Amino acid sequence: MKKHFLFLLSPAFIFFFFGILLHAQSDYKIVQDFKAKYQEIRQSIEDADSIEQLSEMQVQIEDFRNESFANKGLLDKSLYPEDFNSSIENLRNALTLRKGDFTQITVLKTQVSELRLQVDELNAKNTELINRVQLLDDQSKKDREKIAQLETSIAQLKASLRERDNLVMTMLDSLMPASYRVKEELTAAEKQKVYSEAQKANIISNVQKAINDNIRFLEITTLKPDDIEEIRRQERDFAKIWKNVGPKIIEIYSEKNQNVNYLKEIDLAFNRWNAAITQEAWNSVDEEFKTRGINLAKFSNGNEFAKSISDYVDDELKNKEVKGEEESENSYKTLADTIWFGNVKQTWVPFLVENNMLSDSQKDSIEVKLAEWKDEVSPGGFNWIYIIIAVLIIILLYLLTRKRSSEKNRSGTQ
Amino acid sequence: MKLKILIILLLPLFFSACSSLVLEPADFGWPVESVITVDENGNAREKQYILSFNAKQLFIEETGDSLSFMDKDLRVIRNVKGYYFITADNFKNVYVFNADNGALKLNNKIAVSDTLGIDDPAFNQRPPYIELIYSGKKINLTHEGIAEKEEEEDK
Repeated sequence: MKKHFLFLLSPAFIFFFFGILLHAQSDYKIVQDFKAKYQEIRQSIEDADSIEQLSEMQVQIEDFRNESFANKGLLDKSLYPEDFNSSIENLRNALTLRKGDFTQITVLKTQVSELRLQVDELNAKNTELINRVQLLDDQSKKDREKIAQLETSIAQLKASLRERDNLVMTMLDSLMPASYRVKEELTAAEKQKVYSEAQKANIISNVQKAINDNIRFLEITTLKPDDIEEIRRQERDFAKIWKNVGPKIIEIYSEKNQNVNYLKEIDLAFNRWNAAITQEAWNSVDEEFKTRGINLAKFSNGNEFAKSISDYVDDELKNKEVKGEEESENSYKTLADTIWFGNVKQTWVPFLVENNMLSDSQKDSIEVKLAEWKDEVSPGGFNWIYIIIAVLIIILLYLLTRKRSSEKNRSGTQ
Repeated sequence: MKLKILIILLLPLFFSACSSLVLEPADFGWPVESVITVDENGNAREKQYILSFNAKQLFIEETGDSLSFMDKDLRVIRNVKGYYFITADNFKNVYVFNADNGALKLNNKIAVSDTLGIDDPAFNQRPPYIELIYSGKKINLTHEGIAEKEEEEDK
């Protein structure tokens, strides 16, 4: 009986004993424990690697709230400037925000996978088109019928390159969600995620291929200012996206002991692309002269271009006697009237000036040189006009004086 | 006689003009104690309520050792009347101070343990008392001394 009594008494004793202990808890410790647990949950939310982990955190936040609710009054007074409810609300908000990151990342991951397939297809198509354009370009020099085919293929290639570039840009953009870009330092889990996605998407190789294909396209085609302007815009957009994302990818790759120089080469490739666009513009200008049988010395900038024309004019003037007057004049008319004034000045000069490739003074120096040439090949041109004008003035004066004298004579007889 | 009556009539007026302005009730109580680590110069700085003082003399008073303050934590709380209660691990007393002209002036020294120092002390704000807990025991204090020992009542 005594034993039973003790058995029944023991839970009551334990309850009473712990009741005293619980009752004798330090308020300071309660507040410090709350703050520590709050920080722990907050850190766990930041460090969560998956949406599943975040779901567990949601349960933890509610448990934490329920466990701490008994001390709400104390916590309200002690957590200044926060209070119990706002602290719990902060945790819930942090969780919602982090969930948003994961949702965005999941969507982007799917997007990257889909884009990768499309880019692969377009890469193959572009290689085929580049080869075809190259072949047609060679053939069109012999067979003019191939020109139409060449033009169609170039248009297809241009559109296809543009499409692939856009996809690679979207892929680059997707690799680094907005939430990652604002962070100064990504967590190990986030870095791993970016790295594995970049690897799967073969992003570095695709960026490099896109740049090289664009350079190749510029090398094998002759373009108009509008086309070049479009490609220049594309290059700027691409370089801008790379600038936003590239440094972080390089950092992640270097931490994974990847070949960092290979990645840095992309920066150089963008420079090459930019230089190729500039050179393509000069090549296309040169092509305008070449197609009409004028071979200028090679030029790559405004100064060289002006000098090249000036040298050509000097040569023509030197050979004027040998060529004969008519041929010299024809040569002048082709370069000055047909090519310069009839085409290049209208089509290319505004583009070159706008892109700071040709200065106004360089343009003026070309025109002064052409004027000098004109004076040499047709020196009488101006004088004849003056003579005709002078003759016309003399005839007019003669008619006027004659009219006046006849009027005087008539008034004298009356 | 007339003069005496006049003086008696004017006295209340005189005293009422001299009395200072009083805002009441006022509550100076901190909801939770502060745990302040004393630095190498003996200074204790409380950041939340912005209180700082030099604690060297307190440790000399308690231990008789001028260097015993090094890296010690002080438990400090202020009650609703504005008295500061200060103690520390292994102290035998709780010291009650009031603010006085740029200093903390000892108001009372409450002996909590006669023989050994107290372990893990902590203050809780339990108006009108300050509750002191140590080793599972707890006592209620006022600035005048021990108000009641709850532990004994529980027994």
